Amino acid sequence: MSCPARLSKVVRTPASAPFFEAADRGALVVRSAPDGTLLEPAAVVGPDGALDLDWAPADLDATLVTWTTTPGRTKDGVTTPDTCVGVVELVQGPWLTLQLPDVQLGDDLRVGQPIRLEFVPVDGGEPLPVGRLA
Amino acid sequence: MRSSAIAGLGMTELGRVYGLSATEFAAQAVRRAVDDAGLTMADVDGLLVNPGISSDIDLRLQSALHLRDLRLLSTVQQFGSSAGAMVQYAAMAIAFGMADVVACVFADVPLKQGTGAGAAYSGAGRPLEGVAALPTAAGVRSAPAMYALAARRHMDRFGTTSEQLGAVAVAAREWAVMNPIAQMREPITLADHQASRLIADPLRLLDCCLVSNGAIAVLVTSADRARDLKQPAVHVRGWGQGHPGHPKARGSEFGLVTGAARSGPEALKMAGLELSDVDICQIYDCFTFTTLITLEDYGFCGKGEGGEFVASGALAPGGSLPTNTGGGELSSYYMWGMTPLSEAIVQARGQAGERQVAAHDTVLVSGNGGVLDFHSTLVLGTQEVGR
Repeated sequence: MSCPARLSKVVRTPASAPFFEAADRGALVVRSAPDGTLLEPAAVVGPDGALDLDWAPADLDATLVTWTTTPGRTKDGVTTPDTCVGVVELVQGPWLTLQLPDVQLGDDLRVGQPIRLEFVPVDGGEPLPVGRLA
Repeated sequence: MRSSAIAGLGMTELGRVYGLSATEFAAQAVRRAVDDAGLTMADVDGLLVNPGISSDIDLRLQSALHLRDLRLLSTVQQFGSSAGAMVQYAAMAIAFGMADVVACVFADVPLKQGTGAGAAYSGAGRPLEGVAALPTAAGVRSAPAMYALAARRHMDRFGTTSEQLGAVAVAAREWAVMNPIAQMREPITLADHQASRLIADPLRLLDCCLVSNGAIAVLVTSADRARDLKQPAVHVRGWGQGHPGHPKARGSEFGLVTGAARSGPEALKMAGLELSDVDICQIYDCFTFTTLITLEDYGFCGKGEGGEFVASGALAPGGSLPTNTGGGELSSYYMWGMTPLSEAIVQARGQAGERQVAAHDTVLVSGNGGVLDFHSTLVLGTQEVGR
């Protein structure tokens, strides 16, 4: 069962526009260095100092590197659910930090667990990636 | 080249202290450090300033302190590794004759009356823009969440347990009980740790440091000059820095190795000492996990054996490696890298009262910034370099 994500609104900047344009199509792009190295989307310089990074498509399949779950809390009569965030490694190597909406405190996760990325809409903001247990 | 020593220590009231700006705290701390050394403000010819999370002190502290004709003035920002770095830069300036008496100061006022400590470091209210904001948008909104990601990775790789992290908290509190200025002085047990609420799994409340208002300053001068001043000289025998720059990609050692693995051996080599010469450790302990992994990376135990090491009782009073003898950031006060540095000075001088460690000739001091991103090490001692 897919649970709704609880994501904060992110506004696109000119530099991040290609990422969010791909996200609108449900596709993932990451930064690409001239030597072919793929880097996290927030990278601004290549490993060899290259400034002319491009964007390149990346698979939506990944594996879990690490994770943390922040317990939900009740305040003023309103209860928020647990929030699990994971670092995942894309098939091509870069890491992404994203929410795992289906995971609650105490769920059995393991490093290396397959994760499938998808993009979900966020009110007033850009679509954002989340991870679903594959 | 001249060797250097720490000749003065100035500390303001620390903790839930309200009504003063960071500049006012910093001015108090510098003045107290000068008095502590038996010097005057006119003797100070260098000033290094480390702003905290509230970022409201800078180079203009010079004019607030009425310091004239400085020969060295800079802000230093390595987050939690700044204090160690400031002492290193001061020592280098003194070695090359660029300055004679350098004040290094940290001041911060993250706590606001009527708000919780967690709000101080949450970054709440800042607009989220671009792809760099993805982790925050996903829910990584606090230092505990970021360190939890690191700790979880270590636990998975090496079998480190929450109970072992708890041993770090219990040991720190045992020391804090004997420290009259510690914010938390009630003894705790491992059961208390395990019963404390989860903040960001696997980190519990008692795995997390305090948040404090206040300032601490130290005065660094030449060893020759320090010898004739009011306090016992604490010699700066060795130092190092290590900033691993872990990539966010396959092969990264995030959560597994810190800059201590580089800065520690380099500092000891400079001092001409071995790990076995270290009498006391003052480790940056923003979280229990930070203590554990730093001790591993310094080599006090093998990689991955930090859990067993801290659970052995080595860190606590009476243990084989007295560590964070003032209670650390977990139980005493959180002044970034000035927490371990200040307690190192007190211990090296032999002025720690009830908690004084009998053997205190060599103290290893760590500073950690970011999420295990930045690291500084100092080797302080009662013996002058080369003597």
